[in-house]
Amino acid sequence: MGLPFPVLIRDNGERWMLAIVAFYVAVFCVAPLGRLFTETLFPAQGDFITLLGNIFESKTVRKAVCNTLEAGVFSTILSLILGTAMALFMGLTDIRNKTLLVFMLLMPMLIPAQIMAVSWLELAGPSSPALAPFGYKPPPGMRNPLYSREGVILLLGIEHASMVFLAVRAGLRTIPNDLIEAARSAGAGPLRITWSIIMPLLIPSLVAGASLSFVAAIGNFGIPALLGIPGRYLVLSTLIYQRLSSFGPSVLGDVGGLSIILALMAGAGLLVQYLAGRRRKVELTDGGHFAPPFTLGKRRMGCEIAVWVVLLGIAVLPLIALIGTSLVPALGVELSFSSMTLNNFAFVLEHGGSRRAFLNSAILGLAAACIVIAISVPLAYLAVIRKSKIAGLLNVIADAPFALPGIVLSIACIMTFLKPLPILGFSIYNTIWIILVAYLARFLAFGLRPAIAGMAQVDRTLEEAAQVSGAGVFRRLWKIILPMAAPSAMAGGILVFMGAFNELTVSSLLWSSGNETLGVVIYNLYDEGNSTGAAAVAALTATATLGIAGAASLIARNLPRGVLPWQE
Amino acid sequence: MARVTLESVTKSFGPVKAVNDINMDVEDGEFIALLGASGCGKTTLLRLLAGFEPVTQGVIAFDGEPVSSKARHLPPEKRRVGMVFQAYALWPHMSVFENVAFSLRVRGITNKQRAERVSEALDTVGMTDLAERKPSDLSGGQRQRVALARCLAMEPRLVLLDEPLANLDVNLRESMQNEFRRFHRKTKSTMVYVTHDQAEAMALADRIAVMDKGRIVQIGAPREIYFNPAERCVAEFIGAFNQVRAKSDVSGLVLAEDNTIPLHALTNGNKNKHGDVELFFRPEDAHICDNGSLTGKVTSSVFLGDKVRVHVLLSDGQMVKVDAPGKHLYEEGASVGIELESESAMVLS
Repeated sequence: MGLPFPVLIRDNGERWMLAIVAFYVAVFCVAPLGRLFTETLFPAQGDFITLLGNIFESKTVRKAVCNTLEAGVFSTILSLILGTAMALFMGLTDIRNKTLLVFMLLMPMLIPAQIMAVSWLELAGPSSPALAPFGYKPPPGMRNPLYSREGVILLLGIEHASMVFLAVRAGLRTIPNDLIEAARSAGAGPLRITWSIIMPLLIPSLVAGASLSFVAAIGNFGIPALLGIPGRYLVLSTLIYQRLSSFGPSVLGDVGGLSIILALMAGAGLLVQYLAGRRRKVELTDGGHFAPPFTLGKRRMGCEIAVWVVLLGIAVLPLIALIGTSLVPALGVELSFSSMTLNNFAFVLEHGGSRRAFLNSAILGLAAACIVIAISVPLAYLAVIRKSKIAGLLNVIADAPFALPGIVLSIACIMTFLKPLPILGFSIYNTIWIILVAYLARFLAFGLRPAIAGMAQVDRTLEEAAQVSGAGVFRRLWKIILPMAAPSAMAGGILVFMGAFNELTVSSLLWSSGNETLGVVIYNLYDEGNSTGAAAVAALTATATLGIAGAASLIARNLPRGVLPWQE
Repeated sequence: MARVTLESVTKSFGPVKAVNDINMDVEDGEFIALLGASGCGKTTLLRLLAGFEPVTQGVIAFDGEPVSSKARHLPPEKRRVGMVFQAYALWPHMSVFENVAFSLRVRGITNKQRAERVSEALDTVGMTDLAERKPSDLSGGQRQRVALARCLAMEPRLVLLDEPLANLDVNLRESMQNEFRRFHRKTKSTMVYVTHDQAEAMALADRIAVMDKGRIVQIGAPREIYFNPAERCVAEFIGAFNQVRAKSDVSGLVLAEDNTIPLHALTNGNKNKHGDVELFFRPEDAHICDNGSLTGKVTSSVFLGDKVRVHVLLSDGQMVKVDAPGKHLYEEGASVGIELESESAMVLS
């Protein structure tokens, strides 16, 4: 006599661990996005098609959708050119000082979009402290040329070049050296080899990089907000922001529809990226060692100069402009040793709003980092070492709030948390808690990826030895697995902190008086016309971020490859 | 210590049956070796006993209590089964002492008692002086002894060993084999030892279970297996058997004209087969003489120190190996005769 179904006496501890992480993912990742999708795709009144029709009646909306696609596509092309060229230079040639060059190229990953935008505006602006020493000064009264479609596309392209770079560099490493050597012995020169052999093999990486860059571009808020709004070039993210800011939650329905459109566009991009990752016809190596095969010879100096100029222009010059602007007493004043002042910094540190914002961003960052680590380590353990299928699924779901545009997540959170919470009875809308909730959803993936990389490196027999010694899941995770995966978990925490600290897109819609984040303060100061103040806050934030990144790089020796995205 | 019973145990991975309908009884305190080539299912069987994999069919029971069945699977941490891994699996961030103490901590044993039991275990394997070292500072042999101590400390009902000597050099293996034998005698543990090394299995085990393609082909004492292999695959695995084709009739086995093996060379029980047969005999059971039942020419001889292995091409074209004392020399091309010891050859299918 037996039961009709097996009664597996599994470890109860494992069930509990799985339940806790599943609960987290359900509450933070699934609930808001699910609510957004169901309420918009199946609205209480009417249906989705009618809603879409109503939305598209507005000329502004149609224009915004076109602009979004346009900015996405063209900036992606720019990112592709820039990122691929750099990856080919770094990966295939004997150009010198690669580590430094790569760091400069990857700066946009560390310095958030809004700070880059402010920096570039100062660089191209009427009182450009960087161009003035060269004698070039745009005539006063002339509109900043970056306040335009071209400006938005240019900055988006530069901002996301690093994604393409990383994807192509990873792809290069998987090309077996002997394919190139065979071509050389057949008499082909470097350019030909690059064009005929390497580029075709890189197509999946190019597609992956392009789709990542596209999705990031259409979801970006900081750059279109700072450059596009004054230039009357609206994209979906800024349109949503404007509507919500002007009319408040009453337009949640319309804005929900716009978010869905944005989400669908992003979804299409992600689908392309996923499909590109699957087609692998050529036998590739696992990315062991790839020695740069080409020497530049006589042309090396020329190439190096070109690369340095481009990268200095992209990474360093804007930051110089930023620091310069933060040191001048007022916009328009030329920077010199006599005019230099720290007043802006004093103002910022006294100004209640920005002091609060530093505190808010730091606390939010710390809280998000701790909570995300506490969840991602068990989840990674369950998925990688316990090989739980449910945990694997949760891992995939956790990517959604990060991959989708931040605006979509914000709208979803507003929809879900506008009304008072069940049981607790109060609403978290207009408090700092809703920002934390959004961060816990958005940055879970940031913590998960390093945690998974760390778990993958742990020897399974160590877990098995602990099992036969009688230890249950929690004890094994705490005493045996965690000590070995700790550096990766820490790295994940640092990445989460950095992301939350610098964040603008999500908090732009969720902030309220007293609950500003640093990103919001920078934007608001600039919007009010206080460019110097904005520059000061931005400079401080950038310094803090670079400092943290530097500290993280120091512990990077203990980390598996690829955990810190900017590590070589 | 436990008595282990396996009843019709099968483990499938998709369409492949890694372990196929195994029936086995391991007595309390017995040392049994699972012997076979790579892929025969011995490691899978070990992992089934440990509880790392659930059974697809059948029942595994310890002292009559089912631990693995289709209806019920007791997880490894609840089985009190000790395991010694091929790559030792010592936790690198813990000292030797902490590694051995871990299972006792889990069970909530107090500090003082824990320290006592750990010292006892380390003493048994001779690692007391190295208690504070980290695994990375130990040699292979030392690590394996710590792994053994770790097992000892938890007083398991069953000890499983997964090719524990595979990573050690040859000289170390013999001393570690002695270590295992000592361990078995002292603790009277039930031990299941997986290996692909037949000499090791014969040196250590009370009984050997020879496995092939997921099945147990023969199970018995080492002498039994060595002198009476039940099937051809067992013979092919144990020792260096010669295999020749012959025709059998009442007078003996005929390979070709002038090449007959007299009936008294066959072991009992195999004299009644007639027709085409496969004959197995060991190189050490044959000797070279001037006039033997078999004739052939020497093709090569390999000097192995204590013996010379002579390769002889028989007159009917088959090749056999014959061992001779190391001091003898045989020239290539020399004609020789071969005689088999009484009751040393067998007919196997």
